[in-house]
Amino acid sequence: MSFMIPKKLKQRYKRFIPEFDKFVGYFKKPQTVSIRVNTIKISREKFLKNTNLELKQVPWYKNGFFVEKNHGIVAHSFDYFLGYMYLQDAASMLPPLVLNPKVKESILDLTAAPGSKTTQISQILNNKGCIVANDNAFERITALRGNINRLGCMNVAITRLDVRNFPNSQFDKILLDVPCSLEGSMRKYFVRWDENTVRNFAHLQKQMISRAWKLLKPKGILVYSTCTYAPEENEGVVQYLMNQEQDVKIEPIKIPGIRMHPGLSNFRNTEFDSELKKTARVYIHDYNTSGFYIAKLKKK
Amino acid sequence: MKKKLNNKEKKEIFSYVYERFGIQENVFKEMGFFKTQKAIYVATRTCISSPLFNYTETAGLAFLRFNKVLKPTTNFLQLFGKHIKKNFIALDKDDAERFIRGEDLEVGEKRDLNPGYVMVKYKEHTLGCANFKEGNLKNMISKSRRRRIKIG
Repeated sequence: MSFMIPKKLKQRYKRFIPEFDKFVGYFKKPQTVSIRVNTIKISREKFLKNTNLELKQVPWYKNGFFVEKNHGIVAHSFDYFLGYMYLQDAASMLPPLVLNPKVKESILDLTAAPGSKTTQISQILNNKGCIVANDNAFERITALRGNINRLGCMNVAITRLDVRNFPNSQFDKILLDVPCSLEGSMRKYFVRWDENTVRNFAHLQKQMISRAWKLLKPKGILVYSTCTYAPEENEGVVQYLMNQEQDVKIEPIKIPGIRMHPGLSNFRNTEFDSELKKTARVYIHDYNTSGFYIAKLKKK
Repeated sequence: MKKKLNNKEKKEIFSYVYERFGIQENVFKEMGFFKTQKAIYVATRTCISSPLFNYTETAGLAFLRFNKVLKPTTNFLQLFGKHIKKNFIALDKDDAERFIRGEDLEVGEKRDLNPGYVMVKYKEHTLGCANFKEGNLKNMISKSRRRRIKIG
């Protein structure tokens, strides 16, 4: 699908997105399709031996692969029916890697549906331990359940609650992949974009991150992510949390195999804390994936 | 309403899956079970003992559904198929494609199949569940999972 970048969006980011002309050019290119091998049901080696797909390794995740040809057949393939793989954008494989979950830890995915990252965490944990996977919309929960069933995840417990009213509890690790204005996914979805949408999402995201922080244990890790470029929804939300809470420490993000851009230090008339440069941005022209923003926050 | 299975109920379940499919009880040693009105679920013990368990809509996978007799789900069979020792049937490629499409199949009498729920395979891959009766496999793959697929 070829997509024309909205004029206002172009003006907004011209000064902030590196190699801007290349970035704009990528709006006309189809995004690379990628899959994740579901190691809960099949080993990576066995899958690669048997599959008919032409695959190329995603450099930052051993179970992630770009599909080089015949993208259309992926969801209608035998491997897909058997739950041996999951269609997932390669950049969206990053937040679970940054979260780095362990079996003995209590893990919460606050905005889990349709379950790409939840099921990835499930396989990282080798189908052990427990991930509480929350979302508040009935239809989205249905999709989440379908994916958990197809992929065979026994270590996921589903809740349907508004994040802002999530019951008091404490977790070692929390993934908060918030609803956003989808600027980084405009090639995939039809997105009605304007600056009001950005402001409305930023308002909601601040409420969500505040609640998520209360649910995090001391020394715990919160990974905040979006698939948008809007600093109001990214650095602005993390800055808001830092202003509200005294115990926020931003951790650097290092994932072997991917070069990410640092978070912004200013946007228009807003200056952000210099620590926010430790957060990470991925643009569509870096690896022909969706655009992403990721922050790794530790509670002191 | 979710209710954790007590020891007696668990023993009955283990006995059923052993008698029907030859799955040993120790396969489930790290797992917990609960039931709803419609099904018995299997999940990790950590999920079932979570302080938030009462808030959860569900956890893990539906394992057996309450029909006239307990019916194993496709999801359960696909995950635990490698532990199944009896009451399974392997199809050839054409029949496997028909089965994935949701068709019932006439396979004739089979000495090693008892009437009732059986696991259906293609090579080493578990396709799902069927009800075997009088030489016919009645397809139990849920409509949402059925696909027109060419096996490569």
